[in-house]
Amino acid sequence: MDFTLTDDQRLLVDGLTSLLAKACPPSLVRAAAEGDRLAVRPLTGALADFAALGDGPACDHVLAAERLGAACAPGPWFATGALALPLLRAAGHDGAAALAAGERAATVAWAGADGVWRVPAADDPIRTFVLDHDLVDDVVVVGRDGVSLSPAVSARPITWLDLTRTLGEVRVRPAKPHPVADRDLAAVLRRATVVLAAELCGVSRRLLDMAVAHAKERVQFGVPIGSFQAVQHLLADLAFDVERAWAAVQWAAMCLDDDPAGGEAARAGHVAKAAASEAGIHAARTSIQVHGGIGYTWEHDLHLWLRRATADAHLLGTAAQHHDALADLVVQT
Amino acid sequence: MSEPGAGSDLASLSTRAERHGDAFVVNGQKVWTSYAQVADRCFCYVRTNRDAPKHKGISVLIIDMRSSGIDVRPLRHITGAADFAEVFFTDVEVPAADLVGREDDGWRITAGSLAHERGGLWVEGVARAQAAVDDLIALAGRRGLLGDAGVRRRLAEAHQRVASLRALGYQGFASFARGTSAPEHSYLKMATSEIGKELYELGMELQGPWGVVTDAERGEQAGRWAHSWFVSFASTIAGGTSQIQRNIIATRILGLPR
Repeated sequence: MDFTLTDDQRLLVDGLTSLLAKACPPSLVRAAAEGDRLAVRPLTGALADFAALGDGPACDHVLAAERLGAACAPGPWFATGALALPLLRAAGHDGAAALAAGERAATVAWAGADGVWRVPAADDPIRTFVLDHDLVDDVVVVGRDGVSLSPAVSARPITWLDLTRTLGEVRVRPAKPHPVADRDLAAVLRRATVVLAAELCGVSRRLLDMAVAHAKERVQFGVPIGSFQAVQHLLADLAFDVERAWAAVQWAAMCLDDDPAGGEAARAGHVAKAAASEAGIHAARTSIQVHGGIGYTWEHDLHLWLRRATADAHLLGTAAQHHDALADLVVQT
Repeated sequence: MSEPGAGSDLASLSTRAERHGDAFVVNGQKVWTSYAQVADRCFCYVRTNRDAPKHKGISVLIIDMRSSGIDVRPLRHITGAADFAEVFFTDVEVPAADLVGREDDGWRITAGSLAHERGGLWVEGVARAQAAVDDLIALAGRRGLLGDAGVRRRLAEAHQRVASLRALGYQGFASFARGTSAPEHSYLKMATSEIGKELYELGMELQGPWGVVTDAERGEQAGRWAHSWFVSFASTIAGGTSQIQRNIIATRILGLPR
């Protein structure tokens, strides 16, 4: 339970931070949000190597996801590394190699028409919440009897709050599945949820940083607004929620690495996503309040991160849904 | 530390110590001194230099509580117990050898001692909160509420908050144990005390009208939840109020202007 980063982890975090500073500036996030999908391709290429994190320890995966979230990085890195690759590994599918090598990108068709990612998966020809379908080569379809790999099909876009990550609905055709045990499917979903929670912590931290920077610069009544306790306490409460969620995510990653199917990993996974979803909504609410009117303009970048935070807080389970699932584990009748 | 006129603004303390040869002579009044009525000695923060800026004229003395000129009056608080006391000092002589550190350098000691205290205090806070969550689940079971979806969700929320706080404690301790500063401890001081109020409020609420009954025969655990709720008020005031903790987080961690 040592939270101190190893030298290799420090290298991963610092390397990714400087890569993103160059390859994913706010101007790129905005271009992606305005529908310029071509602009995302160089970043997708630069991040291709990071898909292999899906094969490694969860502790490293969450560190990278947090940095990617802070940059609001568009692209299929989450769908490929946190969902498609682990699913193909669980199925023993040889398509995994190309994803791990960064040669191909893939997304997954898991949630049914009702939008719920469940285990066992729905036997539903309609699949929703297919992430970044327009930026991938393949789709991993999760069915009742296992997973199958098919070339990316044209999806019907679903518009949602997040402008930097596309969402689609696809109709899947029956294919001969590679069997995956429910237990393994659940483990993939659990880890992907923790990785998403890490991304959300990064997004929330960036919203906090933007609000703090604004509070230091914006002068009203002759002083920076950040000198007012009313503003300071809003930001202190948010900083606490972000730190708490990030600690919960790192703890969950340690539990996953220790015993992916263990009881503590299950509880810690729900704790992590519930805490991160709360922090994400809190970050959205507080960051815009501190920015005042300027944050409410389309022109300001704040809403790009605010949208990602809100979407992430709902994707793969809201805080309330994770609390209810947690109750089933800790409140014995 | 605390005085009637020096609570959150500790540096404005006015109990003074004047040097007379090999001794300091102490005059003034302290309040909220924990267990002063049973203590043999106390660490006492005194003003040794009235001309210096308020943070620079403070020193720390170790005072023998049996010295003449000390009057200890137990202070009964809202639970009915008297864990604290007022201490009055009238011309109390303290050997100069009992000065801790250097004269007029006491403020640095407060910062160091509080940081050290926070390095370990969160463990107790988190452990107490976790025990309260376990007790809440048992209480909900006795009240037949474990099938209630609303209650179940609130119990899970409580579990989540305590589990994430524990993780934050581990994270802070990892840097504290390596000698680097651990801002997590300001968060933990604020959060472990605030969460107590929420947990004990929930415990009272789960009992409906019986939540306020303290009768040993009739009340749930002899009013334990209401009693703990009262006790929890102290923890968000003592050792730096939650509002002072937010000031610290804002100015020292987030770097906002004072």
